[in-house]
Amino acid sequence: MSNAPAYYAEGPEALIVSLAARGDRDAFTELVRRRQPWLRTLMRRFSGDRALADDLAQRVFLKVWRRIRKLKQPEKFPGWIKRIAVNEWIDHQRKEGNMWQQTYDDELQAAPLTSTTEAIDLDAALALLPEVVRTCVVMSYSERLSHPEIAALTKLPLGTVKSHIRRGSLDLRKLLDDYGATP
Amino acid sequence: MTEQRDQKLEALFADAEHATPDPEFTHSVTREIQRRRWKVYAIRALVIVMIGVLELVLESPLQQSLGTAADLLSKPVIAVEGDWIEFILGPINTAAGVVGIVLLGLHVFIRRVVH
Repeated sequence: MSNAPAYYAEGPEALIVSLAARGDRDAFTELVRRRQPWLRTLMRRFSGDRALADDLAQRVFLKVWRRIRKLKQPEKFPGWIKRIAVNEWIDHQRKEGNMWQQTYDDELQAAPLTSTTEAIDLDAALALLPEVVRTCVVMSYSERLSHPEIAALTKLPLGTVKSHIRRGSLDLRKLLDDYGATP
Repeated sequence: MTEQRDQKLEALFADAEHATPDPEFTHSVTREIQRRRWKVYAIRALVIVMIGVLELVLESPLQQSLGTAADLLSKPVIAVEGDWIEFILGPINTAAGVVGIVLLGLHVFIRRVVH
């Protein structure tokens, strides 16, 4: 394993991205180190499965490694990697053939929530939402994507996206209120 | 506004705990990249070796055949005396020239008689 030089840890991200794009392996390792908490959390929220989340996060980093030379503007890296991550999740769902199959009319499962911290409560509550709804809610709240952006990425009608986010937010609040996670 | 978000949920998402940095995860990504890099090197090396082997196998017979064909096709069909006559008849007084004339004749024949 290559250990990134200590000064890389303090460098601005755009500089690290430029170095990684020129083939600097240590710079790429530093990018993985910096971005992995965010990416693994995002994938965990999407999938509700830690092992799958790590597997998907690794695939995203491999795609970043293959494509980073083509990224001409390093300052656009955050949006660029976010797009790759979201697409990876959507592609995974399509390959599995289980996206959009659950309708929102399905009753939320009354699974027991035994967690004690807010973070675990949020993840557990998210996991109870249908996948398509969870995907839209996470994109909106966690990644702050606009409704048209979510519609474009998921290829769902804009009205459906809005409806999923509205209903998903209400049900998430209800679940969290029921288990005392919201202030 | 159509994109109003639930304030409490927003706060909860913002405060929620992120995954902690895991050196083992970083290691697994770099290890996988290294593995793929070696795979690419191995494929390139294999292609170079295969090209080398093909060249070794085919080079000698191929060159020999081409050399023999060139010798045969450039040999004069009729022995001609005189530099000028030899120069003028040169292009057609070879096996290649004869083959060319025969093919041209066939082409003309087919065009005129068959079509």
